[in-house]
Amino acid sequence: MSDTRGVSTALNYVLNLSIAALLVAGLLVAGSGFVEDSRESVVREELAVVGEQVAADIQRVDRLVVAGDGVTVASVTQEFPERVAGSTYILSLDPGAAEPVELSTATPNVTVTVPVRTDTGLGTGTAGGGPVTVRYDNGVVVIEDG
Amino acid sequence: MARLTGDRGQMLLIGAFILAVAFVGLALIANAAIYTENIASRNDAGGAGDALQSRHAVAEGVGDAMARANVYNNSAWSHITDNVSAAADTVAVIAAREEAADGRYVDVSATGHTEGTRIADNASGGSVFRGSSGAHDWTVAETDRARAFVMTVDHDNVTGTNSFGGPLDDEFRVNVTDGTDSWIVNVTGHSGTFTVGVDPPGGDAGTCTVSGSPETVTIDLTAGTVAGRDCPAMTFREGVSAPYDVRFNRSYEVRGNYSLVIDNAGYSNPELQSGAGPGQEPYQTVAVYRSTLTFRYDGSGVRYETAVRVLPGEPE
Repeated sequence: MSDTRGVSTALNYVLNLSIAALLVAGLLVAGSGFVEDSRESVVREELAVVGEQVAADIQRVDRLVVAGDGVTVASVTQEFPERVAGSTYILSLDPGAAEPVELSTATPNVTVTVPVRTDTGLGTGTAGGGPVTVRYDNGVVVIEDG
Repeated sequence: MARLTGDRGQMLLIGAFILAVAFVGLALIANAAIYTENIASRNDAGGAGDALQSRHAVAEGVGDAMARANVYNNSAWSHITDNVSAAADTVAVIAAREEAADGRYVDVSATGHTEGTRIADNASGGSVFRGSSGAHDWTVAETDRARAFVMTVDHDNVTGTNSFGGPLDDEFRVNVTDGTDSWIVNVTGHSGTFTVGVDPPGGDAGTCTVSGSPETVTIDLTAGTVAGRDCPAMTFREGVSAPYDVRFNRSYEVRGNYSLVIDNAGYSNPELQSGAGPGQEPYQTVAVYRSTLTFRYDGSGVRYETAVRVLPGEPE
């Protein structure tokens, strides 16, 4: 009698188990990577859309200001989602930048900028999600939480 | 041989569970992507376009009232301003009622009026465009600003003493000049076609013709239209700086009516009958050149408060 008798069952079992582990690990890595990539692209897309809407609001206020003959109040408020694909985001206006509207999230780390052209000058300002107000304030257009 | 316990298959179970969670997350992300489409399809979410439309409608309503007050209530400055202010109040009520139906608030009030002078020849059946001294080459106005300069000319009486189709150097001209440069509009019936020619300084902008034979042709010099149609060549006082004179040359060549409003208060011109009215052409009366309104609009997402200058028929 050899001492290798009955090994094939155990070997079969170990092989089975390791192949299954490899498969599950592969699926997990690929699956979570895919989900993470999708999330990042959705965040980027949604930030771009929110940014375009804010840029449109800035231009709406600009139009109101240009059409008026001595504007004292001009503001447009629009409701945006508090979070994009589960992440909070910050909206900021930087008049010095080539693309003045900037939106960013921390996780995943995504930053989107949107160009906007106006006749009225732009001011600085930041806002989180939710209602955002674009307002004419002493000769410049600013954004704030509204 | 391995002993059978309840721990068997854990790895597959946990792996499957984590994968399931990941795909639920994926569904949520897909949902966020769909919501993004929703935000992207929003169109003028705040209603800023409605605010501008309302502002425009108010300015137009008060402008029409002003034009009528200048013509029909012009016996005293206070009568005109009272009428324009009252019209602004009426327009405010109408606009407020209309906007309230959509849950918006509008308020309008007149805050000031700028005095000007209206110059007109309203002779019934039309007359030649001469001054009250009988001059045919005369200065109608000397001003910085003019608006609502409209002439209604008899189609078949163009070129006056000459028959329709008289020589081109024998035409009626409106000459807007600052002393150096002139912007000239001439009206001819050359070759049987009613033609309005425009000559800005240093060139010929082109002509606009009227086909058919309507009884009268309306030439709106400040709006740049001939017989109600856009005349691309006509841009009022193009290339002429203010202050400028408005002159008529060879006014016997046309018949009809005209009127314009200038921003001079208490304007005096020996060729115009002062404080007169139809029947004593041409005449001048006090008029509102410009009114200022405050306009306030509160919509669901828009707040707008502005001064509005009402100047019907102002070219610039």
